[in-house]
Order: sequence, then structure tokens, then C-alpha cells
Amino acid sequence: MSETRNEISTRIDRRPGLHFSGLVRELDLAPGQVQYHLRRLQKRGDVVVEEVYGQTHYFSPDHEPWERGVWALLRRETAGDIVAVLLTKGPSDPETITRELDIARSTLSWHTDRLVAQEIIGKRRDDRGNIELTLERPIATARILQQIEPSMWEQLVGRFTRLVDQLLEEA
Amino acid sequence: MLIGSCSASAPFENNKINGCDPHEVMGVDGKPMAEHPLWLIIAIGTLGSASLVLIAGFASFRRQTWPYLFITVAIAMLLIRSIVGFLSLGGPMSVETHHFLEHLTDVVAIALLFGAIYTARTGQDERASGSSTQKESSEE
Repeated sequence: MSETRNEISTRIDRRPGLHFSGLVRELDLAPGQVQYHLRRLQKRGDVVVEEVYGQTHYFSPDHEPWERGVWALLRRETAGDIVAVLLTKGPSDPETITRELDIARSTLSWHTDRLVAQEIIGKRRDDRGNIELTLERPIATARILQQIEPSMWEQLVGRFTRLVDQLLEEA
Repeated sequence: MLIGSCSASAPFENNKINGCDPHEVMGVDGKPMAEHPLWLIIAIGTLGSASLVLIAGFASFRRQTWPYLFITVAIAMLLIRSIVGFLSLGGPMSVETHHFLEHLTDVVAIALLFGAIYTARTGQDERASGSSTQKESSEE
């Protein structure tokens, strides 16, 4: 394996779910070069590509599909915050989460729909029939969340949507 | 702010400010207006507004709703204002067109923000009558 391909593979292994743009920035290589090596790595099965809601993420093959979904979604700061609340407070109703994080109901709904679809969060009804959110695999989720640090770009986009959702909800 | 004694019947006429060529008008620091820090301010404004448009555009692509689209285009008006500033300082755009476009972008941005506020409510109604998952979300 060429030195560059080795380097790309190591980076992806160290930071699962990395985006193409992140790889190009970190490696200081031409996008075409990175694309060529990624295609070769993909063909040999050394790299797995996962499309999650319009974004391409790269993983080493030792992550199972569920883990890949967690890595991809929890890179989004607000999704990570929602999971962190569920980890610390246990199963919670939507009001508790919106109050705790000071986010609009629409922000929570948007992230919850995706977290439920990826089987990271489950929705169930408590004894009184109210909806409660709960983590499907809390220990495995916590282990991944600990290692994720959202990029500056993700933070900016996430905080922009939080602000707009709040403003529109109050309008 | 300006040093110089030009006179004209109209404040903005034939690419001139009060009858003066912007390249001959001196700022308080003695430099011609064309070399004034205004260039720097417009450059910072362009970079800042372009970054905001990128962030809003990406958020809009993620959410795919009318309010986000309207807010993104409203923010893009800030970028257009900076481009208009560049074009008029650089020469090809007349001062009258500059002012017309600046006030026009204000009006468009205001209309878009009203549109975002209006569709924020109607968008929620649409979502509530959407898929079963979305119905459940609206029940929460």
C-alpha cells in the first residue's frame, strides 16, 4: 500500500465518520488525489463509505452499520447534546430535553426523527401515556459520544439552526 | 469627514459625490477616497456575509423548508450590498445605481424575513398533517 493510502487509512481509523473535505484539509493534498486513493481503498475493502442524510462519511471496515450511524449523527452538536441529556437523566419526556438544552420543539423533533431512524433513540409511552425518549444502547452510545468532537463548521451550522428555530417558534 | 470644495446642483450626479470625482476627494487622513479604508471595510463585509450565506445555505439544505430558504436569501442581500459597494468604489457603478440597489436589497430582505415568519407557522401545519412519524412528533 502506498504511503499516502496508508496515511488516509490511518486518519479514517483514528477519526471515524470523517468527511471528504475534512480529509483533504488534514492531509494537505489535492482533492483529486484523495479521491483516487479513497476509490482504491474502497475497492480493496479497507474503507467503507456511508451516506447519512446527504453527507458522505468514511469509516474503517471494523465498525458495524449501527456504530457508523452513531458516529455520523453525533458529530452534530445538538444531536450529541440530546443524547448527553438522556445519558445523564435517563429516559426523559421531550419537555425536559427542550428545557434542559434551551432548544425549540422543532429542533428536538428534527434531530429525534433521525436519531430514532438510526435506532440510537427509542420512543415509548410511559404509564400515563406520555411519550418518553430513551437510548437504545446507552453504553455503546456513551463510548462513541466520548470520542466525538464536533467540527467548527458543524457547530456553526447547528447553532444557526437552533437560533432560527427558536426565533421562528417565538414569532 | 471629507476635505475638498466641490459643488454641484445634485449630491450624486455623473459618478460624482457633490460634484467631485471620488479619486480626487480626500478623506480626513489625506488619502484619496479611492484608497480609503472603506475598501478594507467592504472586503471584511464581503468575507463575513459570504461566510454567513454559506452557513445559512448549508442549514437550509439540511432543513429543506421555506423559512430557511427565505432567511438564507435575506442574508444573501448583505452579500449583494457588499458587492454593490465594491462595484461603485471600483468605478463601473454609478452612485445613483449604488443607492438604488442598496435600498432595494433592504426592501427584499424585509419581505423575505416577513415571508420566513409567515411560513414558519404554515410549515408547522403542513408537517402536522404529514407522515405518521411526523404526526407523532407533533403530538409530543
